[in-house]
Amino acid sequence: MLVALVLLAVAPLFLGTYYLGLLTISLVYGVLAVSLDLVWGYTGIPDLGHALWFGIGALSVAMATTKLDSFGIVLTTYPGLGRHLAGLVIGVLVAGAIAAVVGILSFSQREADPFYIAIVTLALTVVAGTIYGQLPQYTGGDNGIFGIAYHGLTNVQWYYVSAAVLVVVAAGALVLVRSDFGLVMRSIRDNERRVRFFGVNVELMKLIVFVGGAMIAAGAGGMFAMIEGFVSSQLFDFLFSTQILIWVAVGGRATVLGPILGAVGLSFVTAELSSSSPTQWALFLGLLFVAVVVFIPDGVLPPIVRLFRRVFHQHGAQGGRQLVDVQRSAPELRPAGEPVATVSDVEFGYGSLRVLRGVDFEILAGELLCIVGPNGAGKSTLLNVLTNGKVPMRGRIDYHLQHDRLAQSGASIHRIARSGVARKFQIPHLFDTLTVAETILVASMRGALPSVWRRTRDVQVGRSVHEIVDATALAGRENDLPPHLAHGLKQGLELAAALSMRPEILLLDEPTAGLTANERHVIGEVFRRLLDAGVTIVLIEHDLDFVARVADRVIVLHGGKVVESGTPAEVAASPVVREAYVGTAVT
Amino acid sequence: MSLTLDVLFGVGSLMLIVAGLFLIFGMLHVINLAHAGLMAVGVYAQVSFRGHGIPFWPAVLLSALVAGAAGAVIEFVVIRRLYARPLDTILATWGISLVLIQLITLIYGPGNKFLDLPTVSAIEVLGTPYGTYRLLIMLAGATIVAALGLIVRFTSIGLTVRAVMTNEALARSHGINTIRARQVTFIVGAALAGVAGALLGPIQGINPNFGATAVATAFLAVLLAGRTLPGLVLSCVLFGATQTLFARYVNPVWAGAVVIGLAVVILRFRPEGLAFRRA
Repeated sequence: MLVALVLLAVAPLFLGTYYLGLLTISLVYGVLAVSLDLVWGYTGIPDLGHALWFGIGALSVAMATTKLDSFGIVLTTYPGLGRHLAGLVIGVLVAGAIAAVVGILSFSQREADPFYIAIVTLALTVVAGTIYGQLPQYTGGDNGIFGIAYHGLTNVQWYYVSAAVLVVVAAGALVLVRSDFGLVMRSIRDNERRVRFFGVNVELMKLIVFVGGAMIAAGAGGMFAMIEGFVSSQLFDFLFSTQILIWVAVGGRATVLGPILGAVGLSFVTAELSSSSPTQWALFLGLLFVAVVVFIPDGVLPPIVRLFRRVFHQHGAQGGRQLVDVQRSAPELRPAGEPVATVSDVEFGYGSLRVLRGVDFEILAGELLCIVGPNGAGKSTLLNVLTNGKVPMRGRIDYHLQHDRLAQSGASIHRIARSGVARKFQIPHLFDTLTVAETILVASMRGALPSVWRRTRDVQVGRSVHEIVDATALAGRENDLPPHLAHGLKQGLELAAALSMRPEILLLDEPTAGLTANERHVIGEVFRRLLDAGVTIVLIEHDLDFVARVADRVIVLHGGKVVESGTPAEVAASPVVREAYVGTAVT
Repeated sequence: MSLTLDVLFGVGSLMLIVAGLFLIFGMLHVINLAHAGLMAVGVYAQVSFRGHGIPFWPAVLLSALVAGAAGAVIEFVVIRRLYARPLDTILATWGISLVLIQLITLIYGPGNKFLDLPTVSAIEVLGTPYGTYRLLIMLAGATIVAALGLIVRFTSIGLTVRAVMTNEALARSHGINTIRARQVTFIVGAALAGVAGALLGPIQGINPNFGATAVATAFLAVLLAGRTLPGLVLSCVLFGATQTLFARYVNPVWAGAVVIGLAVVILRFRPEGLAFRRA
């Protein structure tokens, strides 16, 4: 990287005016590429119309520095620096505002289609291109606006300004993606649904990143206008948006440096070849893009870096993290027997299928409650409704937590999670690019807004998390990635992550599935200790021996209703339960 | 009356364009942004075939085959590897569209081409004369969509389609060759795009970017359809009507933008689109 900086600094000495100008603009494109990488590469938002923000920035500078007649012909230019800078700032703000509107419209929680934002941004850029020609009095129409360059700086000075801006933006981006904020960005990209259950407000985070990316792009657009001196509909349209995507995809998604190389390299070559054989070059770029997306989705840079590392015997894994103890005073325990959640006459289903048909029960503080029942009774659905805030068809669920009283109905997933309801899923849903320690870190943040520059190396977690980590042999593997973990370890990670949220209520869906007898014993012990620490546990279980050992209370679900509740002994002896398991018609 | 016919034409031509997209999206969950490129393939194939003196309607069939062949290649080389990565599919098909457009530019040049209408006559519809060809396009659009619906609902092929659509793994375990099913679906969808291109060629300007402008509207119509056929009809009616009326009474260029804006807002508040499932 140092080499690159040196090269950047001395380039004007070797390049003629033409190439220097080309490189200057390429550096501006580099800034643009970084902004898309943050939005798409790191957070997973497919902004197919990123050029729109760039164009807004350029147009804003043009509008601030010229006066047009109704046909779009330039009447006067105002060449002062103040005007240019004002245009730049306004462009950034306008782009941010429009991006905010688009973001709020697009990132909604319930059943959000991941395609939606892609199509919306694509549509926007198509629309912008056509509308541009329709408003010549603002945009210069089909010809665009010329002569808006800022002449107060020489070519060489502009080069250094560009280079400096790129270095600052790249450095800032690198700090951001290495920070805790960057970690949450990646977690959203890897598994948006799951991270909500850790309390992360996905909509807000996406909005912040999307608007930020748009504003950086607009800044780059403003610089472009000041250097090149023109703006036209070409800066808005989908062809340019595609070029930016190609830079990021080919250079290497989620690397910051890859997209810069892609932008600088490809735009340099494009400028050379597009005059001689534009169609062949566009064809080649298209093929390259498709090839990269299909066969090398990580882009060109990461394999090169890996090769580099191997050649120079460098081993990555800088920035490993570890789990440490947190010194926390013992929480005040609630008096046992107080309800922490009440489920009243809840009916819930999917379409015409009624799964829960009037469920009534309470979850009491400090108890271990097991929900059992034959398949199809509605146990998983019940757990779902408890955590995802979907409005039941009838009835209500209320939480009476220590620091929060809330009704379940219509609450967002992350709100429920933040108030102290943690869930461990039956099938581990983890994050492909987050290590064990990083997953636990994200969970332990419980949705608090993460630092944009600090990188937490020591993940502070309570004793129960350490116990799970030790018990499931995760110890020593804090810096491993989920694809390298066996199933049992993934289950352990799921449980550890749920516990690191310091929940008041812990909901577990078949926690012993896939565990050996010994591991079940250990889990049972961990649960007992959690109860002592004041956590209320609700389990769905099929292993009735396990239930008999650990449960304080059992409720039996059958046909969408609670047919029996009591101690394990009472329930085991109940004739109603025997009928349910052996099989009789649902009444 | 002529306004009504114009609106119906807008709806019918949109249905024609959207049919192939809908099939691919509904069956494969793939947003096929190569649709624009495939439409261009269809229309340019038509130009070539007509240039060799082949009569109009057989040429349309041949153009469909050409587009279907292109679809087969695309499915084999690209789409097949991306079923697990839906967002990458959008990008890859977008790239493919660009590739197709550039190839067409290389072979045919960037200038405009023209296709003659197969018939310039007009028929009287309830007292208003209207271009026969435009009526034929409306008929084609409605027929294709209706045929899709009937095939899916009432034939064994349709049953296979529905099985693969709802639960692919289970369909496979029943002995259905899902790979073949996906392949055939993509090819048929591509061929339908070719038909749309070939049929709309005589009416619209033909250049390598043919269909690119209709793409955004078409995709929003498909998303709005919520993967149900009645939803598709509804969204085509909504879009086609809005676009035609807006173009007639306000401004043709803004019409496209307005329709897009409408779709974006509806989808925000009703992510399942215009699908009305029996509750």
